[in-house]
Amino acid sequence: MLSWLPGSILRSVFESGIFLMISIGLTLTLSVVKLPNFAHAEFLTIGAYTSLVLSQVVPNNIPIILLASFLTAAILALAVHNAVFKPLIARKSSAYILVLASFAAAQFIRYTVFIAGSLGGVLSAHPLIAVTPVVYIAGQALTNVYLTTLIVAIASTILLSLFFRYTLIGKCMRAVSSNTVLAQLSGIRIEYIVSVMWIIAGGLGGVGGALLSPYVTVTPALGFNLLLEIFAVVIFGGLTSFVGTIIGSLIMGFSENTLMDFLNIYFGVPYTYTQLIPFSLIIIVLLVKPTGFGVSYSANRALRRLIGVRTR
Amino acid sequence: MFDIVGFIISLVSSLGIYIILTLSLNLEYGYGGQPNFGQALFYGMGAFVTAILTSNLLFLFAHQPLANICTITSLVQRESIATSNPAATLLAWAISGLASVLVGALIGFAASYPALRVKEEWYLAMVLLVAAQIFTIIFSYDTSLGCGFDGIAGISNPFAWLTSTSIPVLNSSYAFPAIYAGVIALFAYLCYTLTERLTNSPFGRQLKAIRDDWLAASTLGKNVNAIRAQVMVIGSAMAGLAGWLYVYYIGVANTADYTSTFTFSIWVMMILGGFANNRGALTGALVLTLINELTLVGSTLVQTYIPGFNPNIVNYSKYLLESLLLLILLIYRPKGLLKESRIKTPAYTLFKEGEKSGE
Repeated sequence: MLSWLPGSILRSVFESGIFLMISIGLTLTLSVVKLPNFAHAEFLTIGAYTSLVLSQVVPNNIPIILLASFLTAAILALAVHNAVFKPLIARKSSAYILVLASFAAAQFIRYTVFIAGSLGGVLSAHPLIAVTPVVYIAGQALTNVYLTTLIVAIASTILLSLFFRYTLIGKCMRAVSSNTVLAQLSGIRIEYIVSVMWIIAGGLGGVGGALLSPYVTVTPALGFNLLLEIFAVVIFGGLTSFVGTIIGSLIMGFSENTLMDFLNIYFGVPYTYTQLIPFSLIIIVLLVKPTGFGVSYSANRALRRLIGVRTR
Repeated sequence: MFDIVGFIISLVSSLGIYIILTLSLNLEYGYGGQPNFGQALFYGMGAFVTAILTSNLLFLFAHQPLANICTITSLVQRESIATSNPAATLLAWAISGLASVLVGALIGFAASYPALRVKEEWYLAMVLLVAAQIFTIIFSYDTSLGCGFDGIAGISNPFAWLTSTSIPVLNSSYAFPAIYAGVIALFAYLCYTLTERLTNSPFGRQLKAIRDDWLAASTLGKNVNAIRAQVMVIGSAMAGLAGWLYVYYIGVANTADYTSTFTFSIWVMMILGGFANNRGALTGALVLTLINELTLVGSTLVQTYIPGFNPNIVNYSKYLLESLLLLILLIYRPKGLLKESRIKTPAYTLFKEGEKSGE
C-alpha cells in the first residue's frame, strides 16, 4: 500500500522550502565572506520570536509578520557582523577562531532570548497564526502556511537570481565572492557589499524561522536544534553554490520525510533517528566528496546552457 | 546552612575533571592545531563505557546473575554492592578506567583519519561536531546501549563502602567524597605532568612546527600524519579518562551532560587560559569552574531566599557570561590570559643555564 506516499511527498516539498529559506543565507555568507557562521541558526530563532510576538498584535497577518521577521533578523545579522566578525576578519583570524566566535555569538544570542523569554513568560509558545486548509490535492489538505512557504521560497529564489544577474550590487557581490582583493582593487566598496549581504542572509533566515513558527513550538533553542541540519543542506550543495543549495534542501526535505517514512514503514526504523540520515551524510560528503553532490554542479551548468547565460 | 565542606569537595572534583579536559584540548588544538569540536564525544564515550562496564562487572564480581542494567532493582542492587563489597567495587572501578582510556584512544585514532583527509580547515571541526551529535542521538534513544534519556544511574562513588566500616573518621559522610576528590586531583596532576613533559620536548616542538606550517614540517622529514594521529590518540584518551572520573563522581551517565554546549565551555577554558600553555589551561579551568560552581550556589540561594524568582535565569546567565567572556577575549586578547610558553627541552634548559653563568 502506498497510501502514505502523497502526504509524505507533500510534507517533503514543504520542508524543502523551509530548508531552502533557512539555509540560503548561510550559502551567501560562505561564498561572500567565506565564514562558516554557526550563529546563522539564531537568525531563525529571532524570526520565529518576532512572529510570535507580532502575532499577538496582528494575528494571522502573514505578510506583515514575514516582513517584520526579515527586518529584525537582518538588524541582528548586521549587529553580529559589526560587533564580532568585522574586527576578527580585519585581524585575519584563522577559520577556527571565526567558527568559535560565531559559536560564542550564537550562544550569547540564544541565552539572551532564554532570559528574555523566561522573564516574558514565552519560553515555549505558539504564534497566533491559524493554519487553515486551502486546497485539497490527492486527498491531502494544503494549508495557507504551506502555500505561503512555497510561494516565498520560489519567489525569493527567483528574486535572488535576478538580483545576482542584473543589479549592480548583485554583480559586485559575485565579484567579491570570487576574488575579494581584485574586487577591492577595481573600486568596489567591500564593506557596503558585505553589509548588504548580511542583511539578505540574516533576513532570509528570519523569514524561514517565521514560516516555521506556526508548525512548531517556538523555543529559544529552535534554531540551535536545526543548526546541523542547516549546515547539512549547505554541505550537500557544495557550500557556495546557489543551485546546489536548492538541491541540498530537496535532498534534506525528502530524506527526512519520504525516505524516513519508507524506512519506518518497511524496516521499522523509529522516527527518533530521523536526524541520523543527514548527519551521517554530512560526514560521508565531507570526507569523500567535499564539493557536495556533483549533480549540483552539472545541473548548474546544464541550466546555464539551457537558458543561454554565459559564465563570467 | 551553607555547606562549605561539600562546596570545596565539589569544587575540587569538577576542577580536576575540567583541568584534564582542558589540557587534552590544549594538547590537540593549542599544540597540535587539531580543532576538536567533538570533545563531548570522547568524554561521553569514556563515561558510557564506564557506566556500562561498571554496572555489569559489579554483578559479575559479587557473584550475582547479570540483569538489565536500567531497572530500578538493579540500580538498588548496584548501590548495595558498592557500599558492602570493597574488592568488587574497586576492581570494577579500575577495569572500567582502563577500558575508558582505551576506548578514548581508539576513537581518537579513528577521528584522526578524517583529520588527514578533509580539505578545508573547518571541515574537521564540522565532522567531529556532527559525530558528537550522532553519539548523543544514539545514546539518548537507543535503550539497548545506554538507558535512553534517563541515563545509566546508580554508579556509586568507588569509596562509598567506607561508610559501612567502623574506622572512626573515614566512615563519616564527608570522607569518601573527599577521598575521591583527592583521587581526581591526583589524576589531574598526573595529566598536567604528562602534558608538560610531552610538550616540553622535541615532540612538542614538532607539534608546534606542524601546527604553524605542516608543509614545511613535512618537507623537513616529519611524518605529519603520524604525529597528528598520535596527538589525537593521547588527547582523546585523556578525555576518556575524564569521562570515567566524572561518572563515578556524579553517579549517572546521561547524554544531557555531553552536548556541544559542554564542548564549547571547554574551548572557553582553553582560550581564556591561552593557547599552547599548560599553566594557562589550569587558569582557564579554574576561572570557569569557579563561575560554574558559584552559579550553582547562586541558583540554590535564589530559590531559598527569593521565592517566585526563576532560578533558571541564574543558570542562563552563566552561559551568557561564558559566551561574552569568549567574545571579548577573541576580540581584545586573542592570545588568552597567559602567553604561549617557550618549549623548554632539556637541551634548551642547559643552554639557558650556560648563558646565565656566562660561558
